[in-house]
Amino acid sequence: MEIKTKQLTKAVRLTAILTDKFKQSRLSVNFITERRRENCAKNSLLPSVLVRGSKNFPTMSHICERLDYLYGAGLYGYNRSRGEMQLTGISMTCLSDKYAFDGISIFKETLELLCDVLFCPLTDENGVFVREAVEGEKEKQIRYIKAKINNKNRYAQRRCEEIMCEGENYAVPTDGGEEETVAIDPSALFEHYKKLLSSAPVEIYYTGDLDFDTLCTCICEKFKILDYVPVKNTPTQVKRQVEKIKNVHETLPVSQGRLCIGIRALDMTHKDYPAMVLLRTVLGGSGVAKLFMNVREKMSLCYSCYATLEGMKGIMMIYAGIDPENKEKALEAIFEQIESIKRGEVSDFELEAAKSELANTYREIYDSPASLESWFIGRRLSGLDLTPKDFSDSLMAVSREDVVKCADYLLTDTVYFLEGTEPAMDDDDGE
Amino acid sequence: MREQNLPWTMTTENKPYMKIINSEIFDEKCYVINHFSGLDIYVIPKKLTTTYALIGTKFGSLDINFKREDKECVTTLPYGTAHYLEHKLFENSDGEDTFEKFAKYGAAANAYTSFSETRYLFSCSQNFEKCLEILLEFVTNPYFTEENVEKERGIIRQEINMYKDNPTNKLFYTMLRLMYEDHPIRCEISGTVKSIGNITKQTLYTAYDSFYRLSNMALCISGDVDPKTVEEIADRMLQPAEDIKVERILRKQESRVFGKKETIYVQVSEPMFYMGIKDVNISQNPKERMRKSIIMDLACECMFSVTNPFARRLYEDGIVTSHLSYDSDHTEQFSFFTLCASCDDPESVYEMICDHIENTKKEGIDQKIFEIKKRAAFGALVSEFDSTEDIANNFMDDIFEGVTTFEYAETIRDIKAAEVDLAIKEMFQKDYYCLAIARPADNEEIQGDADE
Repeated sequence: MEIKTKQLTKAVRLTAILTDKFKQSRLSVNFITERRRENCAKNSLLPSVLVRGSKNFPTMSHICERLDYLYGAGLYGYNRSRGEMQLTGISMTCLSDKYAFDGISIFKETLELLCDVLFCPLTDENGVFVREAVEGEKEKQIRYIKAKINNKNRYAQRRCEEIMCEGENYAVPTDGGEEETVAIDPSALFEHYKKLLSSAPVEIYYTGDLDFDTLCTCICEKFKILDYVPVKNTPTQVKRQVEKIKNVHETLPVSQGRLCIGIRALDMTHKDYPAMVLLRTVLGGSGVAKLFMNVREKMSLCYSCYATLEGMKGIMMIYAGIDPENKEKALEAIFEQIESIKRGEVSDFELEAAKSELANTYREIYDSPASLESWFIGRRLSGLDLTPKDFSDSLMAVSREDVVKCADYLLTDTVYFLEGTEPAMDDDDGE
Repeated sequence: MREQNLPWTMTTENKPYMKIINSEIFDEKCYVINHFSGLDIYVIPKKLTTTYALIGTKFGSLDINFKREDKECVTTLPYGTAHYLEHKLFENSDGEDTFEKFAKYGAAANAYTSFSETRYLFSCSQNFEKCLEILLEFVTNPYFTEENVEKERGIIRQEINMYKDNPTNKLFYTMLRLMYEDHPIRCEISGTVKSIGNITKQTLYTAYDSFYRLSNMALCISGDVDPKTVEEIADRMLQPAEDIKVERILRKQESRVFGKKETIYVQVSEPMFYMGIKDVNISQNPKERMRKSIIMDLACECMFSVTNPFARRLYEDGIVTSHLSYDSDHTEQFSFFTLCASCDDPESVYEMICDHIENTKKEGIDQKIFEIKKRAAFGALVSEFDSTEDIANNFMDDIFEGVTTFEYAETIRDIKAAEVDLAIKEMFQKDYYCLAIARPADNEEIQGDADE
């Protein structure tokens, strides 16, 4: 496997992960902006409007038919947040050319389609997006925003993040929010589209078995029109202090309560980040983590109990699904796990198990084009240039003392509890 | 290394039978070992970092009424037994936690229970042999005590409650209850809080003894492994046991659905629906079932995917919020199509779907689209070979049917449009349709569990 990078124009950089180990190739075109309230709704709406149709493929049926013809190729419009940045774009996946029984070049044809969708959108007589398409996608985005409440786990986690990071860009929803979405009209969205394609830095990622020079020629040919000096985006702001712990309690008619604890930790540019990753794994990131073994297995207080770490913003979240009457006990048990790490109670077994599992995770990244791409994009956004293997090596070098000391960096910021107003019912058998 | 006292000597004549299936179109191969212990083993070598191994037993949430050939009476298990057993199998008599055993070697383990199977798996990027030993060891050594069974009840209750809060899950089961009058599929896989109260250590031992016999199980492995190594480990770890026939008892199903429509009030922001189309014509022959399963898939693709203007217009005109989703399931114990979407007016969308189906029956499917869909289906299968997890799961899906993914792909190419047209005419009859609707609950109007 070889990783090659080339600046194709002032705005466009190509990173190619060259390997023949996958049957599928992948290409994504990412426009990078800051996660600001005024951008996010439009960033989210734009890709879904684009993939509804283009000059040569005017309806979704045309696009889908073409993709099916290309042996089930995929084309995806997306808008994702990474820390306080957004990646807005279109990606494609397709089989390696050798699987075509009719000898077509699947990659070139799929790229043709992607470029048609990206550069030749359907416009009306005013030269902007068709009103029907924009209104249709707006309505869907609004419904999607309203439907977030359906997934209680994610809803609770997101509420905790919003409360914790109020006033910071991290609290801005990826889709911008309902109000911002409603305010979008076709000319505003088209302006935004033109602005993106004339000011945002562009990162193109490719994974596949094409020869690098052939690939560069192919991509250059299609993307040479994106030739401008890109804006410099402000990096994600990491907060390292807590004035006062926020305690928030909300209710919904559900049976199971969700407890979320938001903690300021370290971000990936910090020298002790590897120790923080180990800490998170020992605490709540593996099948033998302290939270799982104690709060779930020993105390039976919950079914789900784990910790996550967001490396760009430097935030750790601890999550537990509990019966409401166990809230105080669960909080106590959770904080006790952190205290026990501070007291040095991290056994050889726990440390080795965490390292083993992490080594596994970082080796597994090499098994998926999407994971590889996600890894490199994430690191590059923070100005880092290291491979999954480099990072894994740094994790293996972390000692127990490093992990114990790292616990002092943890600053509890917010405790959020979503209480169920419905008692867990003894219902009838489903007959 | 475990010493085994075998009643016979291993000679080359007694060596388990291993055959190799080569697929040129996929550029892959599969080693099939019909092990002397009764276990069928598939190994699909793959030069990827992650090795994925899964052992499955043909025992799922539906298998609650059965008759063993060595017992006089029918046995009935409480709902949720298969899932409870899945949790408890991870206990060991030496007190060591199975997850810890895997973690020591850097592997991640998991398990899940479905309607017809229970699967135990691990993925690792090193120490494969040790991990395979751990997997075979814990699955073949059940250890249930009153205490450890009791301790799990609280955890499983939490799990049941977590799923109960999921509106899509609730709606799906509402649809199943409309479809089937007297069928264990009506009850959630994890059981109910009440039913799991009746599970004891004896329940688990009975279930284990009846269904966890190696002849009722299969092992699928994909990764950078040598099939001979797998065979050696199986030789060391597994012993054959008496094969006891178990007959599952299911009430014969009518073609018609039991109920036509039901509405539940749940915590959703907009209405959604599940439409079910029931089918009771299930062949005893696995190859015929495989063929029909593919036909059902292709029928869905031709009728309900966005390439069809009907589905596209539903989405573009904002009649549904996200694309109409569709699925088909065709197994030994159940068969149906499902359609699902979020929308303002489920009854109206249901009528539109019914009209669309009638039109398709009259006009037939679009031939050009049909051929293109076969290309897409083939392409999708090829791309799944990039993931050892997908490979192992795909092969496991077919192993109890005695087929491989390779044959599945060949059969796709063999299907004719006329077969799909015929299937649509036969399977899509109004008497077989049912509609489950979920509407947003007001805060006062709490969704009692919509039980009859």
